[in-house]
Amino acid sequence: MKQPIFEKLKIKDIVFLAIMAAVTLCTCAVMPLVASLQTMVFGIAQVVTSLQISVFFSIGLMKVRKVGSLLILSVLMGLFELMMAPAMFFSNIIIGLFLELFAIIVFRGYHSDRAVFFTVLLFNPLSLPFNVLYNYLFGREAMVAVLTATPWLTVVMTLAVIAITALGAFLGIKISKELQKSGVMKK
Amino acid sequence: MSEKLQARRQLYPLLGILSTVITMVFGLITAKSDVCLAYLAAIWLLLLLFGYWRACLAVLPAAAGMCAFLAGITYAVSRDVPSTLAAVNRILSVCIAVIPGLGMQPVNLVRNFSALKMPRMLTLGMMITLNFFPLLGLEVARVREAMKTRGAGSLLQPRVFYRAFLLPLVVRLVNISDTLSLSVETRGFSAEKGAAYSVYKTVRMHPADLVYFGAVLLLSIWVVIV
Repeated sequence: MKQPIFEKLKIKDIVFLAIMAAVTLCTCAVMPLVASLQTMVFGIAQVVTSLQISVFFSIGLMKVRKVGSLLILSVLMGLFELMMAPAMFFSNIIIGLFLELFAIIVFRGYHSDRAVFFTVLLFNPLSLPFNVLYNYLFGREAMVAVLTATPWLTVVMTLAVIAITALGAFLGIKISKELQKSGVMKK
Repeated sequence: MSEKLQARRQLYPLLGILSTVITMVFGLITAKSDVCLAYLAAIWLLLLLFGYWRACLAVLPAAAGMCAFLAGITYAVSRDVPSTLAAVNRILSVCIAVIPGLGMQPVNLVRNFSALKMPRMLTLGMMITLNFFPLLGLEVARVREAMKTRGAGSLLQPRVFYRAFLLPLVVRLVNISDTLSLSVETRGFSAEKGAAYSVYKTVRMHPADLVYFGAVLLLSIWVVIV
C-alpha cells in the first residue's frame, strides 16, 4: 500500500523532535569556542557542529518520518539561535524549507532510510553557501576574504563538512535501527 | 542564557526580539557610517537605562576581545582604517543586539507566543526544548556514572563512546520523550487546530516597553538619515 506523503504530526512527535532539538543545541554549544577562527578558517563552525546535528537530526527523522519534521527541528533550533545570531535563524529556516521540498519531490517524504540520509547529508553543507551569501550581503570583508585567501583550505573544509555530516547521518540511522530492532524506538 | 544576566523588569519579549533584529540589521547596514558607533552606544545606554545592566556589562569583555581580534585581522588584511572601523561596528552591532535576548527569561517568550495564539506545536516545542537543557546534563551524568560502575573504559575510544555512552543516552532520550508525551497529553495538550487553552501567566505590554521600542526605532531612523 502506498504511504501518504503528508501525515498529521501528533503530540508525541513534537515532544520527540523538541527533545532532539534541545540535545542538538546543547551539543552544538562548542561552536562559540571556534567562532573567532571563522575569519581564518572557512567553515570551521560547520565542521565542529556537523556531527552532532546530523546524528540527532537523523535520529529525529528516523522516528518521526513525517513531512515537516526537519522544519520543526530547524525552527526550534533557530528560535533559540535568533537571540544569539539571527543569521543562523534565517539559515536554518531557509535550508529546512528547501530540504522539506527536496524530500517531498525526490523521495515523497521520509519513509525510506535513503531519504533521511540524503536530507540530513545536505543540511550542513548547504549552510556554507548561505553563510558566504550573508557575508557578501553585509560586506564582512574579513569573512569573505577567508573564502578566497586559501582556496585549497576552502575545498578541504567543505569536503570535511560533507564527510562528517555523512558519518553523522550514517551513525544516527544505525543507532535508530538498533533501537528499533530492540523495540525501544517505535516508528 | 544565564539567569544571572536576566533583567529584573524585562521588556515585552516580542518587542525585545524585534529590537534585536532592528539593531543588528541597522548596525550592519550602516557599519561604514561615521555615526554608527554613536548609534550603537545610544542603544547600549538605552538598554542600560531600561534595567539590562547585567547583560550590558557582560557583553563588554566579549565585545572588546572580538573587536581586538577580528578588527586586528581586518587591519592586517586591508591596512585600511575605515574598513577596520566598519569591522568594529559590525562586531559591536552583533554584541549589542544580543543584550535583550541575554536579559530575557525564555519562558516569557513562550508565554508571549502562547498569548498571541501562535501554533501550539511551536510553543509546546519551545517549552520542552527550554526545560530539557538542565535535564540533559543530569542524564549525561547518569550515563557516565553507569559507565564508571561497569568499568566501560574511556569515552575517547570510539567503540566505547558509541556502545556505552551514545546508545544508552539515546535510549534514555526516547524513554523520556515517551513519558513526557504521555504526561503532556494527560494534561490536555492537543495538536488539534482550534483546541482551547489558557496561559497561566500572561506577559503584558507596558508603556515603558513602547517607549523603549519607539526610542530604538527613532535611533534607527536617525542613523540612516544622518
